Amino acid sequence: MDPVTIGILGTVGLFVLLAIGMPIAFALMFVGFMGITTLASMDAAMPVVASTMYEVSSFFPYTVIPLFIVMGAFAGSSGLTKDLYSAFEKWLRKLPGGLGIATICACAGFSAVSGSSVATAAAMGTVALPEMERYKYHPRLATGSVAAGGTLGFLIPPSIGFVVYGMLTEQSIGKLLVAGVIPGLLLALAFITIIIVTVKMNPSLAPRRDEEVTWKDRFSALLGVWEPMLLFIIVIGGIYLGFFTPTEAGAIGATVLFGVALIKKKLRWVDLLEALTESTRISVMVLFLVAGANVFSYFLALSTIPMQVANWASSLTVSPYLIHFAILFIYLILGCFLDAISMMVLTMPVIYPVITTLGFDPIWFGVIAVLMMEAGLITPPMGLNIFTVAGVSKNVKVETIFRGVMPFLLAIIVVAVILTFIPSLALTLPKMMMR
Amino acid sequence: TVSSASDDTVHIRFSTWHPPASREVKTVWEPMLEEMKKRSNGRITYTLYAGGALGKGPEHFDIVKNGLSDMGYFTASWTPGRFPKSDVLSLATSVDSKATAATIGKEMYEKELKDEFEGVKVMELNGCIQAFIWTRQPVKSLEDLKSLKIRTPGGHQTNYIKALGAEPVFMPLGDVYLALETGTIDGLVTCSPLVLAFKLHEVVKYGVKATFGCVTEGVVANQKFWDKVPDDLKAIIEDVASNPYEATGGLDHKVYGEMISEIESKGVTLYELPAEESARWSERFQDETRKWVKDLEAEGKGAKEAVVMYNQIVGKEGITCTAFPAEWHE
Amino acid sequence: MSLYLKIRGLVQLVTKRLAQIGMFVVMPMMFLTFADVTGRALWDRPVSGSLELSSYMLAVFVLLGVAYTHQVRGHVRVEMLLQLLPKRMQAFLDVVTTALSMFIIAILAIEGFKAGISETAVSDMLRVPQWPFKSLVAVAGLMLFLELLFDFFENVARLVRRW
Ligand code: NA
Ligand code: NA
Repeated sequence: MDPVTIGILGTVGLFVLLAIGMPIAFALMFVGFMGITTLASMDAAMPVVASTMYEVSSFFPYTVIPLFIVMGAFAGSSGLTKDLYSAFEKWLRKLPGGLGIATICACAGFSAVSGSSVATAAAMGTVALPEMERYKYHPRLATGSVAAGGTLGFLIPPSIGFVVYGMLTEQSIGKLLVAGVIPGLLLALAFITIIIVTVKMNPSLAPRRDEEVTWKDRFSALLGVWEPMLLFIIVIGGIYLGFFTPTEAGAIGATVLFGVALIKKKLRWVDLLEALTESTRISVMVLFLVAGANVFSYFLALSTIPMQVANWASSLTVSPYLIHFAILFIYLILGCFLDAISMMVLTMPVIYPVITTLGFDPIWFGVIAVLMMEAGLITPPMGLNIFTVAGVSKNVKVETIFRGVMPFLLAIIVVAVILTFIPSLALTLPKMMMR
Repeated sequence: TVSSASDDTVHIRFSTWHPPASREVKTVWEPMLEEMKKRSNGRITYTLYAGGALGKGPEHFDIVKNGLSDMGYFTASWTPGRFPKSDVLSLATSVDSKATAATIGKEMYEKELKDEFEGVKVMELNGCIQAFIWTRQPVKSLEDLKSLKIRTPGGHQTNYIKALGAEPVFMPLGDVYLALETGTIDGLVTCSPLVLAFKLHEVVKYGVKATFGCVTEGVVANQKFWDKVPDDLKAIIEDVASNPYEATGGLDHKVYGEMISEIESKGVTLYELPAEESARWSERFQDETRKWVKDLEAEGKGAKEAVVMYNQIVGKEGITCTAFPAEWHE
Repeated sequence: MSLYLKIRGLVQLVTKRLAQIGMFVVMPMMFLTFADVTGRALWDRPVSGSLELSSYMLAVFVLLGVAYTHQVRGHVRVEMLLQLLPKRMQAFLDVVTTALSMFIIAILAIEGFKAGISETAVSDMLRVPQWPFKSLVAVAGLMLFLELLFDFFENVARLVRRW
């Protein structure tokens, strides 16, 4: 049997196993193992799961996940996030889905310091989900906005997505990172629009309180959140001044909050235990999934499917824009099964020459490619951000979140189309750069 | 299965962590595999997995050994302690072409390093060459290096960086760009093709042209795969892969000169150490060689002979090993 | 039956205790990075090897928590289609997926053990051996396998009752 057929069979097998309720990480490992056994050999397949598991769980940049979760939990138990969301609520009460909007803004802010979408979703989820639950937001809206908001981590610099694209295509990573700024803000705006529209259409998603808030109340609420604001300034400022990196910021924030909570005597032993347990449960779940996704992507690489599909697109002889949309479609589909980075590494060597031959701007296409990587994070069945949020929110089902993010997925596609027709949105800032 | 060598044809799955658009892939690995295909009249075919599509950088030896790929490029220094004696190939030495590095590596392998690579077929070994120190701020002397965080490729370079007064940090190349951009590290040690491949010239503005030596790397093949390759094809593969740089003309002396000019044209200022300063650096490198040999001998591994032999072999090519302790010359 | 419950209780307790040991590693991880950053920013004196120590600590934290995360049903799965099926079918499919999970996790445990005992690599700066940390893959695999084994027994029992 040829590798492509085996790859397709494996993918179908994965679908079946997921549908009959096998834990996602185990299913990915199992199918990946079977696939590698078939395509390479049993000897090759046996060690892969264990070595990938170790590789993932000892990968330094992933320390952000437990650290930011612990930071979020400490912020929760010292009452900081509660104050923060109360202030948001007072200011945004009149807006449909106001706290969802606040969450998107917070995600965008967090994305400006974190290069990883999963870390953004995990950290913001720990903070935002309990608060939106407190204000009786529908889980679909709450989890959907965190999962989608988390993808902003990829478009708003710093972003590992642009670094990988730049390496694969010999483009300036600096220019790419700058190119992501306006589209990132545009996407955040699109997400906000989605929240307003869905809540207008279905007000039960986000119950509104009609009591008037006086301006005095609003401002005193704002004064009440000087602590989280200060922390935010320390963390963001420290990164921009070069004192520490996004990866280290989690440790700084967690240590500072730990100190604050100790001084204010607000951290009880049970809270600490709870915070650490949460951080174990979520981080392990996410990283086990990442390991599973890696094993599966080695299998798909061996099947040569990603390369073959890219080859097919490159041989099309239709109008450049049709080819462009064919490529977007392929990325949307591949994103359902592959993690973002593997998808780029496997297809870009074939796709990129097509893009340049067609006369498209490589920086502009980089932004589009990263947008499609973002889409992949929230499309079923392999949507890493979805699973992360499912892990954080404990009692919300994966399928609820998939339903919740669908409107946001639409926003990503709309932004991709807008960028296709107005490339200057991505290209103005990098053109202003001197280098 | 896809890759089994049947009676008269062979399909090679070749893996490397080099990015697909890098000079290594474009001017060495692709041409190398094409050359095998050509010489065998198409009986050898291949799939190239670049950019770590089958696993992260440090995994590449095991990827081949276990058979996830049939052949591939691995970096021995990224798994510190696993190929201790092979670090000899990454002593600070001023080699200026990869073809020469592979010739040196081959002889060292045959004579001294074989026992470290059991269970795989070694095609070639080489020290990575022309690695310099690249920084965000200008460095002209040891004093400028004090407590800078410098990414190390591993191996001797970790000790060298420390010996020069800086703080070594070990991280995969793929993470270096953001780390430099955000200031986690102040610089790195690597060779010029990788500066270009990983776009690091955008984030480091200064380089010191001092021979640093670099990692030990090479091409290996899976043993079971190799055993199944028909003899006439074995000859072709071995002929091409035993010195892929020579066979393809990629990464030779001239190319390294061009890459340096390219890096300079992209706004990086290169500084050549004056003889006196250079001697200070070499002295510290030699100290590290003495320590390294002592440590390995304490573990019962005859390292001094390896270093002496290495110095002889590079001497035959008209090259000096900067890190060779002065008193060991007879 | 009570012996079974006793054994299961014991294993689950071990799983939980291991995870608790692991989770407290987050604290030194936090403080070490904090010390490294402040040392670097204020006194030009970073902590040597803090990065590789953090990597090792992350491995301890994650690998010791793997089985516990399953115990609290933390590994996400899709239940939507399953719920549409008759109870008996659900029980049957649970037996199947648990068996497949046990198969792959057994491989994880065995290969983790092999990789652990044969590992000779050390960390780059501080030369801390890697094998104890790699061996935790085997611990993670073994404990997860046992947790799955109890699930398997219970799923089979559920299936038999439904038949
Ligand atoms: Na970001
Ligand atoms: Na997806």
